[in-house]
Amino acid sequence: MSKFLRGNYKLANSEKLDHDVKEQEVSQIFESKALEKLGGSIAFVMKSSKFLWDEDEDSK
Amino acid sequence: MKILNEQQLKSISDATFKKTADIGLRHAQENSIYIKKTIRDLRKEIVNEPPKPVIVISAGPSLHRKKSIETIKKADFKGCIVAVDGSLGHCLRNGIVPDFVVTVDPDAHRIIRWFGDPRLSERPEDDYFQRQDLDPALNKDEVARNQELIDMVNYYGPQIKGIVSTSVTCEITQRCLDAGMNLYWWNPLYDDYESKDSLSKKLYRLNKVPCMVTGGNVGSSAWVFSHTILNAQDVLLVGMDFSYPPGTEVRNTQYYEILQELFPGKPEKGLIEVYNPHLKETWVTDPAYYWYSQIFIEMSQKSPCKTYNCTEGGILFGGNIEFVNLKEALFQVLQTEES
Repeated sequence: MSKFLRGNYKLANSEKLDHDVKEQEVSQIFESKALEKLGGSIAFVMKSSKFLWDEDEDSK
Repeated sequence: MKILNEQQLKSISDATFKKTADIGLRHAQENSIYIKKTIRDLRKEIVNEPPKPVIVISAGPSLHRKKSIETIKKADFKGCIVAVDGSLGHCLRNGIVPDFVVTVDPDAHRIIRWFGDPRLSERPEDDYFQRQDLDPALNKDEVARNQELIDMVNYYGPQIKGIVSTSVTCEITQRCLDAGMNLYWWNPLYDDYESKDSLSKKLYRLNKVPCMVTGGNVGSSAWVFSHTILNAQDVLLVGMDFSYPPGTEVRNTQYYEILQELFPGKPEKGLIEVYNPHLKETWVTDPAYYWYSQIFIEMSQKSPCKTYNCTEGGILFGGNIEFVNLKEALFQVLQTEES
C-alpha cells in the first residue's frame, strides 16, 4: 500500500508555498528594478563627518 | 509600497550614482571653461564676517501652502537667504531676492526652466511643469510665465550669487551668466575620494573645484552649503517637504511617469505613506524623496549647525532636526542674534 501513497501526488499546501515563494522572488526582482529607475537628482556619499573635500586646501 | 529598508535605500543610492555620475562628469568637462571662482573663494571672501543665520528656501508644496515667504518678509530677518533653483521664481515673484541660488541636477531640459528658459519652444514635449507642485505658478500659461521668469531673473540676477555645481548643463551656466549672476562653482562628491579610481578625485584633479556632499538633491545641498561655506550656526528650512500633502493625486508627484510604467493602471502602489507625529498627519512620498529624508536625518547628526525644519509639512523630522513653526524659529534665532 505504501508504494501507492509515496510520491504519486503533491500536497496542495506545498504547491501554494512554491507559488508564494516565486511570487515573492518576482516581487523582489521587480522592486529592485523599480528602485533603480526611481533614483534621485545627484549622487550622494559621505565619509565620516566631512561635508567638504578640498585636497589641496586640506593638505596645507 | 512599504517604508524602505537599508538594502532598498542602498539600491536607490547606487541607481542615482549610475544615473548621474557619467553625465555629471561630462558636464563638468564642458563647464571647465566657465570656472573662474569656486566656493573656496567665497569662503575666503566672507571669512572675517560674523556668521549669520540662514534660511534655505526649498521648493516643496508647503512653501506655497504655508505662505512661508510672507512670514519671512514680515520678520526682521537679517541673515542670508539661500534659495534652490526650483524656488527662485516663487521668491522673486513674491518679493524676496535671495542672496544665493543653488543648482545641481544634471537634467538636460527641465532644470533650466527654473531660471526662465530662452529655448522653451525647442524642448521635447513635456507636461511636467503642468503637473508639478514645486512652482504651481508654472502650471498654466507656460509660455507667458516663462517669459515673466526670464525677465525677473535677468533683472535681479546681478544681485544673486549662483552656487553652481559642475554637474549642470552648460545651458544653465550660460543662462546664469547672461542674467548677470556671479558664479561660485562646486563639484558634487560622487564617491569615496580615497578609493582607487575615485571619480571625485579624478574630477577634482581636473578642475581643482572643492567637492561638497550633496544629500542627493538641491535642497539638501543648499543646507550643506549654508553650514559648510557660509559657516551658519542656525539654518532654517522652509519648503523642505520631501513628500506630498495628504490627498495628493499620484499624477502630481515627481515620478508619476515612471510609476505609471512600473505599476500600469495602479501607479499609486509606488508611493509610501509616512506618518508625521508633529503634524499628526500622514504624508505620501516616493522612494527617492524618502531616501533624501533619511540621508538628511543622517547628515544632521554629523553637522555642527542647529537645523530648524520650519516647513510645517512633510516627512523631515528626527535626528538633530528641530521640527518647529517658522514664526517661532525666527523669534528664537532673532533673540539669539540680539543677545
